Amino acid sequence: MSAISIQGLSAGYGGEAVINDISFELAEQQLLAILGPSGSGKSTLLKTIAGFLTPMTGSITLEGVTVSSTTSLVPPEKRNIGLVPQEGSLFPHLDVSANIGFGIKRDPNARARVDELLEIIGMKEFAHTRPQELSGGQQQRVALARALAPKPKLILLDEPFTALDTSLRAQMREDIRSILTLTSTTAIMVTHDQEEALATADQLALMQGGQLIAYGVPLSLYNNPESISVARLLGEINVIPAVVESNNSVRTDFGVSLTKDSGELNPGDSGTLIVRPEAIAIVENSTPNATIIDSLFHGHDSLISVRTDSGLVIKLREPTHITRTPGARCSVNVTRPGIFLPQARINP
Amino acid sequence: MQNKSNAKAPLLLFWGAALCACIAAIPLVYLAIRIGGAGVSEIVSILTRLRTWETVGISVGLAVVVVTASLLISYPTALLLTRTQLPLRRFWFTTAALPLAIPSYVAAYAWVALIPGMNGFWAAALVLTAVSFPYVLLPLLVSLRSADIGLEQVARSLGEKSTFAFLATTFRQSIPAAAAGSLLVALYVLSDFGAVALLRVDAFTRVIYTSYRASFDRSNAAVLAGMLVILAVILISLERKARGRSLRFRADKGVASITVPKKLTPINSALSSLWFIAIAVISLGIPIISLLIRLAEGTRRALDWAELMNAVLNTAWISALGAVIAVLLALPIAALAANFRRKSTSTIESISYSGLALPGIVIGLSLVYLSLNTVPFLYQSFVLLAFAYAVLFLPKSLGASRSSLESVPPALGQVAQTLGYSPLRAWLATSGRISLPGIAAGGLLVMLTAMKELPATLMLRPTGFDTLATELWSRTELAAFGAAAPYALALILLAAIPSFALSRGFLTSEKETMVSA
Repeated sequence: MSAISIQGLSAGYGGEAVINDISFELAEQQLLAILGPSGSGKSTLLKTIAGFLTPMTGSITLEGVTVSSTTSLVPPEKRNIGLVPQEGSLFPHLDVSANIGFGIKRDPNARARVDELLEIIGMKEFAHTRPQELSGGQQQRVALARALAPKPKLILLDEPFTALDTSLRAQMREDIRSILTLTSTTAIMVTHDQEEALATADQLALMQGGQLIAYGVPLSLYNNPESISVARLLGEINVIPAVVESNNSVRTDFGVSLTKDSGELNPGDSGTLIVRPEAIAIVENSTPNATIIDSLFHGHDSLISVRTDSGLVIKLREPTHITRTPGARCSVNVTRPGIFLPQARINP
Repeated sequence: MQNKSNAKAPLLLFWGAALCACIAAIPLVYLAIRIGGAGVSEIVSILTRLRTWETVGISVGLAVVVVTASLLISYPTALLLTRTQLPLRRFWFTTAALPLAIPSYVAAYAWVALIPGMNGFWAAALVLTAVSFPYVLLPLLVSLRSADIGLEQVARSLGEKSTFAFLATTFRQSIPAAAAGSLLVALYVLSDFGAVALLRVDAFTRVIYTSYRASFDRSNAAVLAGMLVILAVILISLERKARGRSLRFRADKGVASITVPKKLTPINSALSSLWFIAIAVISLGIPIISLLIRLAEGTRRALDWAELMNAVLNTAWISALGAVIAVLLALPIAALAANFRRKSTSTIESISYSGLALPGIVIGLSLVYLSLNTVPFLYQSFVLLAFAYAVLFLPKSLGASRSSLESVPPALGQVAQTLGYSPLRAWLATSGRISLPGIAAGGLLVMLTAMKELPATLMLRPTGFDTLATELWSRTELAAFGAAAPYALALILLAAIPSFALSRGFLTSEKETMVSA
């Protein structure tokens, strides 16, 4: 049985739908990341799952029990769904252990449970500290422990890392991941950071304009995007016009490229080749076919922009030990197979 | 999850808030009913009386004179404080708000006690200016401090002379702040009862009071009260506009240049110090010295401690009751306004601000009529007096409750709900609990302000019930200046508390703007 199942869900404010016809299922103990630009409806979806909004169409089922439909709504306090909001969400008038124990006051074993959670989040010595004295990362760990205390069926995390420094984020991602695994918790996390989504999630849902445009395992969505917008939401891409030559090769303005075999291609069909910047390289000792126009230093690598002789602007990644000067001639080549989308699938 | 939701407010909260706003509007509505009941011919006859327009002329004239004087005092003072290395600059800065601590009738009493026989228009103008000019000075200080001197420097670099550059840039930026302050002063003058009554100036409030006392002509009091409310509403709406504009000047981001205060020559230093000393003597020194002289002189009979303590206790508990009612009325409205931004909610909120446009004398008058005509058993009851305080000072409680509720992120309530709390329990455990100090502070402010209230107290108090304000009033009327002194002193001590808090708040908000600038 899936932990949560959503069917044809639409919801919004004042009769206007913000999310439209969303459907997906999530298995137990999985972490789902919902990725989308701001305004795509991620937070509205989260609020609807939490029970703060009544669906306009469709339903939400938790472990086989329907909790939201157009006619009935189990209130948030009766759902047993935990919530970790963005930031500043700890109760400022309570210390760390009182925050964690907030939802289990009537539980006779509350003390033991709070101690257990303090242990899990590694903050035993902070039991009587006030939230204001904690760092951002510590605050988010306490917020997670507070949500976990009543052993919820599902945890909702609303952009849990937004308020943290970049240096802290990677560490926090790992921490939260391992806490969720340790406690065997099913979770849904909203984020607008694609790196965060790819690195953390078991399942990935992509949202745009209130719709779910893709759902699946991060790796396969990244490598086999169904559309240009899906590919773009997961990172930088090059969109290159191409014509099919054979089942696994296409011709572009600057040479023949391999594509992943998709079986149903006819030679002569035109379409678009999607290639990630890391799948394109500058090759030495070859006839130049492009000019360097820009080089952006990113630390671990550089993003180089070139203009091909046919006028296309191509972006590629290179290790930073190579220096590229704008204006220099070079030869670019697609080194790993890209995804070919026939015209019919781009403009259906 | 955004701070203010477009979601509909819970029905119970919405209607609760609407009910509270309607209760707060009772005095205004009843005044309108009472005026309507006077009949058209009666209203026309009052409006065509020469004496009515004399009253308008005196009140408006007094407001104009006091505003002009306040501007003439405030501009040089503010410039010296913000632009020069004046000796004792910090000291003068912190004392800027102090004159507001002296209730107008206490100041008037002090002057009359010092110079018996002092009265009339110009005496009232002097006393009212001395107690109300900080309403102009304080916003002006904020404006001049935060004004972007960069503009002035640009103007000078473009070849303008320094005075002209100042007038063209910084001075112009300060106009909305000065305008907003001036309107507050005008409102203060129009609503003031104590000073004009003690100094025998026939302004609106005094004429309303005497017409009411001479019970044969109560329609006259009602119509005049209506005219006064209209004037007050005009002033308030103008003030809102001016304040909005003064904020726009400060909305800029980026680093504002900071002025380097000018060094003053010794002669200028001495002259400037003399200016500050003169203001302090007139606004603070004379009232306090006069009071101390009367206190030392004593009365022909010894001070009746029991009577004084009785007045203190009466004042305290009736004001506390008023504060409790004000907080109870304000809470649903504040909770609604803090979390749900809709047209209907802001209508509810503005109705509950009607106390701003109702001078104490008008609320007193309206509630006297109301109780006599519809609920006679409430006439001159404690409940009615406390209710008058609640309506008069509801805006204070509402402002404090609302801003402290707004500072609690709504996510906290949502988290509490997901942890098994019903919406009401979730609200009480988070927003309600966290904003409790702010709400209580608002209530305390209402209580401290109500303790000084004079005209509504005079009209509504139960027979034989004396507060500090009414004791001071009746002793001054009998020219028993020495006997009045202890009451005046007690009132100043009480009134100093919120003014102190106000100037503290003003200084910290100053610090904040400096940090964020």
